[in-house]
Amino acid sequence: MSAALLEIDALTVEFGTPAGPLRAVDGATLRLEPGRALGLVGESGSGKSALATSILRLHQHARLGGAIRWKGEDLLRSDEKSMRKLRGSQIAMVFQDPMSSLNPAHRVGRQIAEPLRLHKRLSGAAVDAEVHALMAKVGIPDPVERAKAYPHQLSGGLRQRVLIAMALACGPELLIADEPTTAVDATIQAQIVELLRRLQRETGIAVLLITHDLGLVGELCDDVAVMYAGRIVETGPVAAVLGAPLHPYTAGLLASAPALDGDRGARLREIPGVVPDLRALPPGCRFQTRCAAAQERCRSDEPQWTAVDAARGHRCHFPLDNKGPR
Amino acid sequence: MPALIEATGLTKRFPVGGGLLLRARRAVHAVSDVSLAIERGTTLGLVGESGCGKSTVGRLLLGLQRPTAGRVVFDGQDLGALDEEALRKLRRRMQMVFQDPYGALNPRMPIADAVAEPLVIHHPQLSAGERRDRVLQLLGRVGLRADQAQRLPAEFSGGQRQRIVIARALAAEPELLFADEPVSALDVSIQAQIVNLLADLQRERQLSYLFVSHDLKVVRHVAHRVAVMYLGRVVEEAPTEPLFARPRHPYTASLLAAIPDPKRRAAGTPRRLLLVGDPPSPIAPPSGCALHPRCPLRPTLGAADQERCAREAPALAGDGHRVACHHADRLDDIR
Repeated sequence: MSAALLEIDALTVEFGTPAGPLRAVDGATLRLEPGRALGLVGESGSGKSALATSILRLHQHARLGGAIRWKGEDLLRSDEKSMRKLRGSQIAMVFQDPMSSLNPAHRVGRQIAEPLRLHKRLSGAAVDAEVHALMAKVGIPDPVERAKAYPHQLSGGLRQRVLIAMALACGPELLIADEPTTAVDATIQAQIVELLRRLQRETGIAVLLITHDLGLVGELCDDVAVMYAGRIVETGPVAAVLGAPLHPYTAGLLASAPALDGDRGARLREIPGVVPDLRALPPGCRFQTRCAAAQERCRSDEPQWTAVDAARGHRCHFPLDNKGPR
Repeated sequence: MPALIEATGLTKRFPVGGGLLLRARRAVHAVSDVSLAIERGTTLGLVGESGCGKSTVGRLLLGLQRPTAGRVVFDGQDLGALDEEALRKLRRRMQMVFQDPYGALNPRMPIADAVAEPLVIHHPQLSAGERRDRVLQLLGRVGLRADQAQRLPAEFSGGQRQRIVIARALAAEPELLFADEPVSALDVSIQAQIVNLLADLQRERQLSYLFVSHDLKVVRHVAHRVAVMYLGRVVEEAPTEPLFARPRHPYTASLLAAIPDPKRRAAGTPRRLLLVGDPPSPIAPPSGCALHPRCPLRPTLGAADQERCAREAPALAGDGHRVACHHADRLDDIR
C-alpha cells in the first residue's frame, strides 16, 4: 500500500440545531491514495456532503471530531491561514449547482484567473494565457471569446466546465466533486463524465466523487464507500462492492434501481420504510428497521466496523453471502 | 380499440420579448407537430432533456393549455370543441402527479382534507361520513395509516408526500394520470416504492399513464411505448423493447449511451455516441433537422447528405416504430 494522500479517521461532524445537536457524520474512516478515484455514495441525509465539505472545513458552525490527515498533517488542527492556502491550491472542490458557485457579476475568465493570481502569483498576459489554456483543457470551445462571457450567458454544461477549469487552475492533487452532474441534462452529464475521466488519466489527479448514483461511481471510480444515516456501512473496490455487496443496504440500493437489461414486468425490489431521523435513531444497527435480514442481535447491538481485507470492510452482523447469484 | 387519448399535429408557440415597441415578436416553438396516442391501461413514456417540450405536451393533452394548432381527442371528445364547463368536467378524468409533491400540497391543510378536496368537488352528494371513509380507504391504498390522516404535509417524507398526491389524484377516479417526473426528486431507495405503487394501481384500475421522465431506466421499466422528444418534436416513437434494444434515431442512441455504465470503465472505452455541444435555443432552432449541428452521424455523412440534414426537416415516419431521421439506416455503422 502506498502512502495515503488523505486519511479520514473516526470523523464526526456535528451541527447545532434548535432541537439539539445533530450528528451528520458518525465515526467515518476512509483513505484515498494519490491518483485514485473514490466514490462516496448515499441518499439524502446520509452525511456524504457533510463529510466532503469538512475536509476543507467549509462549515463554520460544524463541530468536527476525529482526524482528517492530508499527507500526514491533521487538517482539524491546522489554523485558518494554512487552510486558506490549501483550498484551491492542493485540494479543489466542484459543487452541484454551477450557477451559485460563480459570481454573476464577473466575467468567467476573471473568475478562473482568481486562483492563479492568489496562489500562483501570476499577473498580466501570463494570467490570460493560462486562463485560455485551462478553458481549452476542459473542452470549452473558443476560449478567448468565452472568457469574456458572464455566467448567465453560458449553458449549464459550460458553466460546470468553467468550475472545473477554476478547480484545476493551481494543479491540485485532489478534486472533490459534489454531485457534479446532477443539475445537468443526460447528454451533458455524459460529456462531463468523459471530461473527468480524461483529466484523471492525463493529470493523475485524485478524485473524491460525492453522488447518489451508483452507476456514475461504477464509471468514474476505483473504490467506493457507501454511507447510511451518518455511518459508512461498506467500502471496497468498485467492481467488488457493486458486483457482490456485503451490506444489505448496498445490495438493496443496487436492486431497487431498474436495470437496462432488467425484467420489465417484474416488481422492483423495494427498500421498505424511510431513512431514520438522525435525532431518533433506532437501537442497534441503523438500517435494521428497513433490513429484510435483520435478526434479534441487529435490534440491540450496533455492528462494529469489520475489515475483510486491506481494501474491503463493512458494518453488518450478517454480511451477505455472495457465493450464489444475487 | 380506439386510444383513450389521441393528439394530432399538436403545436404550441409562446411569444417572447417584444412588447409595445418591438413589433416583430419572436416565438418559442415549445411543441411542433406532435402526434401521440395512449391506449387504455397502458403507459406512454415521454423522454427528452430539459426544455424539449415534454411537460408542455402533457399540459396540452390535459387541456390545461390550448394548442396553437392541432387537436386532442379524449375518449371521443375533441378538447378544442368543448366550452370551459364541459372541459372542467372532462378534466376530472385526467389527473396530475408532479415532481415536487411538497409544492403540490397546501402546507397548512391536513392530508385528509387535501385528499377529500376532489371528492367535495366531483361528488358533492357524499355525506361527511362517506367522504371520510373514502379518504381513509384511499390513504390506506397508497400505504398510509388512518392515524396519519390529520397530519400536515411537513410531517411526511418526500416519498410519503408523493403517496398523498397520488391518493388525491385517485380520489377524482381518473382514467389518465399525467405523471411529470414523479420519482426524480426521491431517493433511490424510495423510487422503487412509488414505481411499484403506480404499476399496481394501473393494473387494478386500468389507468393510462403519460409518464414524463429524464431517467431512461425508469421509463424502460414502466412504459409500454416510448416517445423521445428533441427541441419540441418527437424524433422517435416505438414500443419500449425495440426502442431500447435497437434505437433508430441518433438522438435516442446518444441518450442511451449517456447512461453511466460501469462496464465502460472496465473496458476503458470512450463513448462513441457522444453528442457535442449544448442543446440549441428553442427561440432560434437550427434549420432542417434540429439535431444536425450535434448529430453523431454527421461525421459519417457525405457533403450532399449533410446538406440535406441542414435544409430539410425529416418527417416522423414508419409503422409502429416511427423515426424522424434522413439517415436512420446509417446508425448501425457507428454502433
